[in-house]
Amino acid sequence: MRALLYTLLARLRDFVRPAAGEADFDQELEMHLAMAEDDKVRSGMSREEARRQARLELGGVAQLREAARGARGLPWLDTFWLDAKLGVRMLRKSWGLTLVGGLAMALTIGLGASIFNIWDTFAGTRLPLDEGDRVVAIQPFDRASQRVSTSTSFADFRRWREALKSIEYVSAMRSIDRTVLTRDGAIGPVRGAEMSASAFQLARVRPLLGRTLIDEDERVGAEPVAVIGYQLWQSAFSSDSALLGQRIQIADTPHTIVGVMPESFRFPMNQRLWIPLHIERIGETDPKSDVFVFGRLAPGASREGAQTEVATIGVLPRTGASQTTASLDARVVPYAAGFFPEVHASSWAGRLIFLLGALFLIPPCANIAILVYARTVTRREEFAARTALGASRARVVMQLFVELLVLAAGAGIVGFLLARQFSGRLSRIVMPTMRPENLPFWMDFTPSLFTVLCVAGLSVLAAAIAGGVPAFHATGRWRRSGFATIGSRGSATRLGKTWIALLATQVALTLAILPSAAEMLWGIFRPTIIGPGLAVQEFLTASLVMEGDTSRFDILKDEAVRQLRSETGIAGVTVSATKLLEEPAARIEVEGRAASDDDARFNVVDDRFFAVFGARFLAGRNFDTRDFGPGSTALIVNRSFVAEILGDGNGLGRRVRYRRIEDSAQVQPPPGSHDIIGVVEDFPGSNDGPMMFHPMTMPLRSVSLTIRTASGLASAADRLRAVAARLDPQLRVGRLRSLEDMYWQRRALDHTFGVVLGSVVVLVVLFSMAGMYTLMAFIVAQRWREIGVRSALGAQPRRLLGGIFGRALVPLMIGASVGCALAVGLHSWLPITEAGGRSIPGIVLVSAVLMIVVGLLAVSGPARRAIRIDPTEALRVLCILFAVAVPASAQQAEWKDPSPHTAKMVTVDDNVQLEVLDWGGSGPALVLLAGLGDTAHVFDDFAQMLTAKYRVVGMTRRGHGRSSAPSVGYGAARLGEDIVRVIDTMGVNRPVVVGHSFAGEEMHVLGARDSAKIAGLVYLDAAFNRADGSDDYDAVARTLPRPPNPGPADLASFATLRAFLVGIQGGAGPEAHLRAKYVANADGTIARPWAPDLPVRQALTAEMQAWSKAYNPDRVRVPAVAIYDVPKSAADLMRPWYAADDPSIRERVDKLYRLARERFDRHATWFKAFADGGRVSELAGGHYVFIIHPSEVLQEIDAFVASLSKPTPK
Amino acid sequence: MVEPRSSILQGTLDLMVLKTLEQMGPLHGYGIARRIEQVGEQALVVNQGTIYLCLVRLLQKRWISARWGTSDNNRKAKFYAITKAGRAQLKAETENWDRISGVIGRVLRPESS
Repeated sequence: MRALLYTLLARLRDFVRPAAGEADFDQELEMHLAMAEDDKVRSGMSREEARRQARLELGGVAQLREAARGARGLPWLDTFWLDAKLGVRMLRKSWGLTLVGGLAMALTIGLGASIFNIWDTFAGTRLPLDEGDRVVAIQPFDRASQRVSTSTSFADFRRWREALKSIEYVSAMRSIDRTVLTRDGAIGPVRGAEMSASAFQLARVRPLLGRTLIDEDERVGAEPVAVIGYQLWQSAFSSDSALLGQRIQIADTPHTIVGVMPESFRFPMNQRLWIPLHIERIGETDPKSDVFVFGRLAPGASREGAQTEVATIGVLPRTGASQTTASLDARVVPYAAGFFPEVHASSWAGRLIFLLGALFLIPPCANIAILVYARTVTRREEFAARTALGASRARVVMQLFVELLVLAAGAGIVGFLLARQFSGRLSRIVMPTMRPENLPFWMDFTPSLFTVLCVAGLSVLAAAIAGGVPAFHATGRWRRSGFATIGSRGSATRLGKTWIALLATQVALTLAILPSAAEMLWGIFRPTIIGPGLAVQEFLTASLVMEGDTSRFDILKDEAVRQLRSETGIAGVTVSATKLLEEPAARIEVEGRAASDDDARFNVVDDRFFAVFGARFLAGRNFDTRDFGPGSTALIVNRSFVAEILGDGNGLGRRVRYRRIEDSAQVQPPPGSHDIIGVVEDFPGSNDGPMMFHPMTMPLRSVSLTIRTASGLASAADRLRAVAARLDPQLRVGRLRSLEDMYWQRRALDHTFGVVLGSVVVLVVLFSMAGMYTLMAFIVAQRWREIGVRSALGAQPRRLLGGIFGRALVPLMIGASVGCALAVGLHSWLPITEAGGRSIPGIVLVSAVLMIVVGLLAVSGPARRAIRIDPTEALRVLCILFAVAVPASAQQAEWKDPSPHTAKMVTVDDNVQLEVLDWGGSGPALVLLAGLGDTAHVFDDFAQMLTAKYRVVGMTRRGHGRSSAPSVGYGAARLGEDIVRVIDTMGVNRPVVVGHSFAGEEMHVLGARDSAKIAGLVYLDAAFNRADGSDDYDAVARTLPRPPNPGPADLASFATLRAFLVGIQGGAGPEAHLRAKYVANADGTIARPWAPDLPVRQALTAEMQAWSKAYNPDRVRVPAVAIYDVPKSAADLMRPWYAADDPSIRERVDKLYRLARERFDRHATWFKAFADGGRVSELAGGHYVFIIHPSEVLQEIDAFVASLSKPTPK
Repeated sequence: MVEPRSSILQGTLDLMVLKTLEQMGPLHGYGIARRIEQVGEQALVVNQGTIYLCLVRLLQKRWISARWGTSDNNRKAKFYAITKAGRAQLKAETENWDRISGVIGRVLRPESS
């Protein structure tokens, strides 16, 4: 519709000049508001009200502007451009992905494009001629057998030429391959054509020099002329512009050169030389005079019209033909189809090739897709923000697609350039027998528009797979699970079935091409690795031809050879029909073997051939003199011939016949069938593949000389020329080349191809590895916490990975099995050996194993990381574990106790185990008992002072710390028994028991009941007459200010708590003790002081209450010393939080001091009686005397222990 | 207090604007808005801004033309006029609208045929 077109035009205009439109729109809105305001003011509103009302009625100005902007310009183009710029930035940021992914894409797109290009070239019928699509060929067609023929009888040609109106410039041609003799020597074989002069007019190409053939040249008796092609002019005549008029000899006849055609002219197919078409000597309907007929559609004529006309004129019967004439017909087809009818018939091949090219893209793009997908996880916030701001899912997917499109576009360009360079060389796989110089002139592998479009298409496909698919998946997932998971660590993104399938496909495809590629590479590089096997630098080849009278050639040749052989320094001379590495190919037939596509190369050689080359015979014999006689059927073949064609046996005695010889062959083998009389080792310098050698029985017109010399090729060349010159001036030596040069030149071409193929294979395998690695890494990352937790709980690493490995190996196994099947199929279908590859037995199996190994290697990387859990990571996991799993009421957080003790659990009763800490040391044994509510850790620091002189062991009583907490057994008797059990189990011999606070009760029991087991008792502020309550002391103490409670800052961690306690009471004890005394939350903050379980508390309380009723422990019967915490002055009782200058405080503290001293006196007296002369000493500072005054306590202990060894006066 | 705004289809607004311009001759945006208000008798309260978006579209399609001029109270304003193509479009759309409304009317009120 016209409106649409106008809209588009308007948008384009706005796109070019955006500012004008916006300014206009703004101005309009301004005016509107002004007018509306005025109106409202006139109708009585205030200006303020009017303005507000006007704005309200108009609507949001910002929204309007946005909407108008959307209507202007080309917004989609803007967003595309923006996405593209962002894409470039993204690619630069992750340059690893860009590099590897881009390279892979470029190579595969290049490969795909090459394949398209090759197919397009071979199937193409575009002629690079003026109005080339109107050039046609006329083909005889046998309706009965449905076979076309490329050759028409000359008579038909004549008739068609005269009668056809719809086709003009009807011409005929016949292909010839002849050696051309010039002034400087022989060139050959050169592909040329006998062609009608009208063909030049048909082609509409002007000659470079001179003239083309003209009708006069075709007349009987006309002087033989020739027109040569550009390459020939360059190589044989060195682009000499004075060559017109020179004579050359073609097939015994001298021709005068009359013109040179330009470089691109190789009409009708790949000819380089043209001579007029004479057929006067042969009958016009004799098959030997058959020609290929072609012409140009007349202006206004169509192919159908021409077809009808040709059908009317018909085809003449042939002399002696066996087919019925009624079925003979003629067809008018596009010119190229006249040469390659087979290619046209198979258009399904074209579609298959399309598919192949696209399939090649899947492995690398799938890999990139996985990597991109994995990265979308990290970009979730970005996409969430965009979605929140209104982007649709399509928009987000588009963004990712464009990002990858930028990469794919770059890769596409590189791929296109690669395709342009390498299409020609790659085509050797498709048409292995077609040598590059023999390609038809319209096949030039220059990428057509078609190829360019293919490249573009492949790039878009690549971007779609690599960018669109992951984006689509990821956004879909997020839509379903919501964006709520963003920020949390557990991602909902999984690698689901699609990815497993993609990976499996990739592995399968890689495995499919691997065997064929490997064999190809082996075929290419094996000769290089093995080397020519000859000392190629010692060989010189040359051609020897005779100008003029050729009847003496044979004699001269033999004489020349004889003379050369007698020269010093010449190790050997041999004559063959063609040079090494230039042997023609032929289709042969072996008797007794089913006819099939057996191709072999052949040469005709003299008696010294094998000797000169030093070839080894594997079976049979060399030629001898009778083989060179008439009627000889002797044939020598090489090892490849036996291996590839005969298969079994050594070949001796088998009979071989020629079916068809390559068109460009300049030599003919002896006629008839041949019997194999010898098998020679593969001729290393020659073409790989089956070779046949015939004895030289017939005279030749030109030969190839091979000279072997150790004394320099240059001198050998000189001597050859001298010999030839001496014998006859018309004996020409030409094309002197060293075998070494020829050999490496051939290899170079193959090498390039091999390197390209090798890199593609390596890249594809690497990508499979990368894919497996990514998959495994993804799975491991997902289940990281699970692995960590399970591992912390003691799961064996191997068992852990079993499940994960399984998941990761699924695509590998599926891919490997499918790939194997594909590989076998592809391997038998592709003509690898014909294309130059060399079979490797069992390659499919080896490839499969290799793929699996490679895959396992790839997954082992992330797997090993999973086993080898990073310590900090594990620590974090463990902390989380303990905070979650362990009951909050009990244990300390897993903080490593730095005190050098070993902890043991000792069984002291039924189901009761006590924690025992052994600090080691040597000397008399000490057993340390902690006070109520404390664990043995309270001695952590003090014990280290003791280990120098004593063996130190400590224990935690029941109901405390890590010891069992039964609900009964908290009476002093039972507690004492626990200690005895520990002493027995630890094997300490008559220890001194050092106890703190409540432990005094236990020590009374030990001292009274188990005096045989212990050496003495040390009471650390633990020897009290429990019946003596300190009520008066307590009454005064209660009136004093309480210590401040710890604030949240103080409870933030054990470190802050420690600081707080140090401020309050001067110390906090060993860290392990502190952590036992206070319970921490999961996040490390302090929750509350620890207290024993309720049953334990109840039991203990009951015990302690019993004291107030009756406290009468048995008197101890071992030496004892008691250290008391007693203030030395009132100042010792002043606390930091007391208001020191408050007189009432000071008064009460004084009173407290007096009461404390009184109390001490009472307890000391009681003890001395109780312990029968036990010593008493006092320390000030606090209840934990061994923490506050450890040195003094140590002194006391030392003195006490020393006194034990002295006999006590009793 | 504010009447509920009925949503006006984009196409119908196009039609109304074209009709207004056809009847009133060249008019600026504010004038078009006022006129539509008047004719609708305040039963339709249109977000006036949408008219401007409509004008942008119509201008792109060349159904109306625009030029800058002076309004009656001496303000610079952009005046729009209907083009020949616009008239043809209006005619076609009006016929279409009549046809559809007739059919709907007959469906809804079958007794008054």
